[in-house]
Amino acid sequence: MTDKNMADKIYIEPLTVETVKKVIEEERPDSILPNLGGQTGLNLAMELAESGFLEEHNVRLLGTNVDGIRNAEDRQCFKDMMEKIGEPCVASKVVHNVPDAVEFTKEIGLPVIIRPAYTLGGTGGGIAYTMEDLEEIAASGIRMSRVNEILVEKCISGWKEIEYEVIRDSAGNCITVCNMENVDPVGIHTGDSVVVAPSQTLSNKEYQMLRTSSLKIISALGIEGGCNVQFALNPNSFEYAVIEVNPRVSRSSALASKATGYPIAKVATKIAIGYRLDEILNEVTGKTYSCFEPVLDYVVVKIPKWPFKKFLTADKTLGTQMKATGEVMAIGPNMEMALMKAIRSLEENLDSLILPYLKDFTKDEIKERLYRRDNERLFVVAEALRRGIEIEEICKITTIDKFFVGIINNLVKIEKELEENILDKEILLKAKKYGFTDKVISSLTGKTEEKIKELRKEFKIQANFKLVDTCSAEFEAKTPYYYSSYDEENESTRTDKPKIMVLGSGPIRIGQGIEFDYCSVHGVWALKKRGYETIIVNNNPETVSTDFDISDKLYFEPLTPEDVENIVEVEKPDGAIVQFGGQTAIKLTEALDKMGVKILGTSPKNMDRAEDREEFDKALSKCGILRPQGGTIYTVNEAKEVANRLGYPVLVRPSYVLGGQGMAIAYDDQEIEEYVNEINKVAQEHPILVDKYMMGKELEVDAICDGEDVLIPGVMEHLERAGIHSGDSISVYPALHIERNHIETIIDYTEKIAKELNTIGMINIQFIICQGAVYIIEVNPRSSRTVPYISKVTNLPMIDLATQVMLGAKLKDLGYGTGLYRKSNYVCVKMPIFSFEKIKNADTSLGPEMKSTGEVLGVARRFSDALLKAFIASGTNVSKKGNILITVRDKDKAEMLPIAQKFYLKEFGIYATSGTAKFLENNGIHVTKVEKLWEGQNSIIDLIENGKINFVINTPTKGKEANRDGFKIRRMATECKIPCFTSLDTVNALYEAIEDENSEKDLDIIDITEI
Amino acid sequence: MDHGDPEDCKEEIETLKKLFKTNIPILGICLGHQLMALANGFKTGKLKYGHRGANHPVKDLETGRVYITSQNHGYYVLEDSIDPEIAEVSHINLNDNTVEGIKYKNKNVSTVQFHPEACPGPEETAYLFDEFIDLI
Repeated sequence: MTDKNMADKIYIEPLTVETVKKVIEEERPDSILPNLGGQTGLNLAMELAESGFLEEHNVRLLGTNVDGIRNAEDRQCFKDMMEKIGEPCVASKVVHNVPDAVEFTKEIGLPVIIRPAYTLGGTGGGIAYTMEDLEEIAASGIRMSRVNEILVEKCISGWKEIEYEVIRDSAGNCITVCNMENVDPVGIHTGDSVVVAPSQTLSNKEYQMLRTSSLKIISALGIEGGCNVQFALNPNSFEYAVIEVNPRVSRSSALASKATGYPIAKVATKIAIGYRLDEILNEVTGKTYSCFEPVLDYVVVKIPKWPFKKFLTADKTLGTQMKATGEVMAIGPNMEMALMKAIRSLEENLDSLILPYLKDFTKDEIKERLYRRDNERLFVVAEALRRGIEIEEICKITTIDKFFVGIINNLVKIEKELEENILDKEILLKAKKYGFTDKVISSLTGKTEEKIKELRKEFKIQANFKLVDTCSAEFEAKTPYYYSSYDEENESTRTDKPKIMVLGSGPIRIGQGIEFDYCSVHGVWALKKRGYETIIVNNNPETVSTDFDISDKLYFEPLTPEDVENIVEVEKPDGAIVQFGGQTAIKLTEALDKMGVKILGTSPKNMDRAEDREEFDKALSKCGILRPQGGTIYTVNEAKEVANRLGYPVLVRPSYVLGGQGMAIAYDDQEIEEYVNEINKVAQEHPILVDKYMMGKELEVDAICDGEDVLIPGVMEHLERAGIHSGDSISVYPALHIERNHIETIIDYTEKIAKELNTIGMINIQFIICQGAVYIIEVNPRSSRTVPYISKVTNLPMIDLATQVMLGAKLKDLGYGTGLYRKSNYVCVKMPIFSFEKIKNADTSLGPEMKSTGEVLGVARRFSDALLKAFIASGTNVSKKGNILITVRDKDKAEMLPIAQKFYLKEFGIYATSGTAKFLENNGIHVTKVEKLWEGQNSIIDLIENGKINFVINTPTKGKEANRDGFKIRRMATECKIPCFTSLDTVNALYEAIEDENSEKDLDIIDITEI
Repeated sequence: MDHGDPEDCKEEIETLKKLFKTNIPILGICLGHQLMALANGFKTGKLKYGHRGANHPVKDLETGRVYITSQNHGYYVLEDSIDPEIAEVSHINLNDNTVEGIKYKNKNVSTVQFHPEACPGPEETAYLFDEFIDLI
């Protein structure tokens, strides 16, 4: 969004009141639109409005008024308003301290839910079943809340959870765009629930009752735009309660937009600037108006994407605290098919409801697992059904509605039919209609995938595409938005224009985020500009690429070979682009190649040369480029052998992954055994790589190559040393601390290896400078997560250029030159954002496996200002004085000393645990020694909880153990929102920002379109 | 549930003509709306596709408000045939601008083409019943 194509002026600045005030003073806007930027945007607008700043500067708040927002957001105001209009709420009370929470709970009885006010994704909330729980959760909730306020609420866990997306205009016209039902009843955050649209288990009476209530609420709030209302509905009566109202477009609105084809945010914006619903055209039909309610002749299923594979120690149970990083959506003519499509869209190596390891559980153990509400719930229910546990009993234990358990049972029944019968046309067609892929049918029937495909051809069973048209075919649709089915009649007609397919990047996860969607979207725009028809395949409802007006044709489908092949058969594209969609798209290269689809840009063979160990080594040595010594292995013994030959420490990683999944630094035989076993838990198609770990400076380059010339926008420097994943490092452009000859070597190596690999399009290369020599550690023949960042800060339209190159253009004709692009006058600092506080028991220490879920950018003329901006934007409170707690492992002590000295001289109070304290005292630094974790007055928990500590520095002894003190200190700091640094390099960066005399008020804002 | 051509309901139209002359408040729905129009000499025609479903936007011309309604009809009252001396259009369908409601002048008679009482269907045009109850 922070892109030249989107707006006339763009400020990538910290989202703080101070900064927004500066922008308003600079730009003097007439109005401000607060309801599209989530909770962050809404909170900022509220603060600006409440302080009188907007009025002073004659800035109008669009979309809704301050009272409306307050009535929805402030717990007490909301309750009062609901009471006034006669809508039921759940018994609850707003409190500001723990004793009041306890007293109220005694009144209404346990269990209760704690909801902190003004937090995103319900951070800090939870369900308390005992008084001890209550005290703990209430304390943390009060801390997390911007206004130190929580709501204690009667727990209605187990009721149906239903959401309505409502739109209202200034004339008072309201419609509901769609309703959605959570498969997981109240008790699991809607962001962590499997959601189906439209609702499946409501009678007309219930549907209309809640719809009427939604309209009443949006009218009472006076919202002009979109709004989301969440209800709890007693499954055994018509009793209901309004749980929450979001006076803005939300994550659910995005889902509802994609589920119906009704562009909620767009319509809400038009309403905000004064249009009425009956004046806004429905773009899907092109002749009716937006004042109608979409009708769905299909079922939509959303499944969250959780990051648990990254956090082995994390608590995987689901509750009121959202843990998902992303989601997938699937559309099918029946819910079974949509569910199956959604499961394989998750890219969890699962294609059906069969989770293999559950087979080893006894029936009793499976029954026990049903009580646990975690990310594997769907699969456990399926396994329970396979074991003959009664549907009624499953419903009773899980509180999942019988209808949904029935859906899962239908799928389990088909599994059984496939296993037990001869595969005739009837069974095969049924399996296909219910979303079984050839691969799953193959594993259940014992026939090969090729055989299943042959049978399909023989029986004339083929996928047909259906339109998402908002009106169930009542009017003709102009927008080509499709999903597959195995019903009759194909509604997607092939045009005779030259057409190119762009493969998307699937759900947002750690390591593969929205950056890749940026690349897909820009790729589509570039193709369109050159006259091609564009076809997007993706399954992520949160992305821009799945807006129906981005590509010429949108297929909302799983990104698996079979699903993509179905589309290829209908569209017969002239080419496909895989290098923009991250690893998800890259993984499809081989399959596309086999289907005979031309891969645009770097050929599949050359892509493979960058990943295949031997081939890659050959290419590098041909260019005379160094790389760390290493080898490929399959087993623990081979790993040990290679590691001992290279000498510890070594870097262990699987091939073909993104975000350093499974990557670790091993210091001895025991560790390498642990890590290799962990990787081998999932069967590996490719060997595991073991490399000598080199501690040095890491640098990164994204470049475009046309086979002859190379264009390099700039060299990015990582502040954290090698060993910390590039995605978790602070990245600085231009590289400031690197000698010129090294930069020249990097440019030279980039050109050499890009040409050697016959790269056409994007390439990403990672370097290490170690003891005066430059090494290449990794080459990715695709666009990387830094492409949007480097494009924005250099103002170089990289994806557009790369796309042109892939279509045959030469860089030297494109007007941006070749070689290293001109250096920016600004310093740009990209800083990672972590969601550790939301994922209980996740280890916060940084290492070779990426953990960050987002990033911020700080742009300034001076390095320290850019750093400061990035720290502020990341939510780090850069206090210029205070106390710092240091506890580091022995081998880091010498390196830590100068850092401690710097803070000491800056008059920071230094706190340290015994070992570190002794070391510092011996070196002349006065230290307050702190006691063990939980003991006494000066215990770490006491210091952290009472806010005495501003920063924590802790370097981890061993990465993956959850019961060590260091782990607990890190968790505690994180949960108390105190910045905790696990790399000394990050602390040095922090010091640089602290040391500088400038603070937030001194920073200039920069319109990045003018860089 | 297509009723076919409302003009076939000769007997009912005659009855409505008589009722119209009394001062009994009348609220017509769907076929009732069409027959009351025919009883007053207006014309009906056949829609190309018909209006079916629970998501039809209808505008109340008096207030400018749009409501979502349930509909199920294949015929409609021709707007041009309405004698402005006798009646005026009170509601229109936003999708195709056809007549969805008529208010008769100097009479406590109004009719709507859609179904404010529909089940399944939205409940928001129930205000018509409140207005009607106020009349009686």
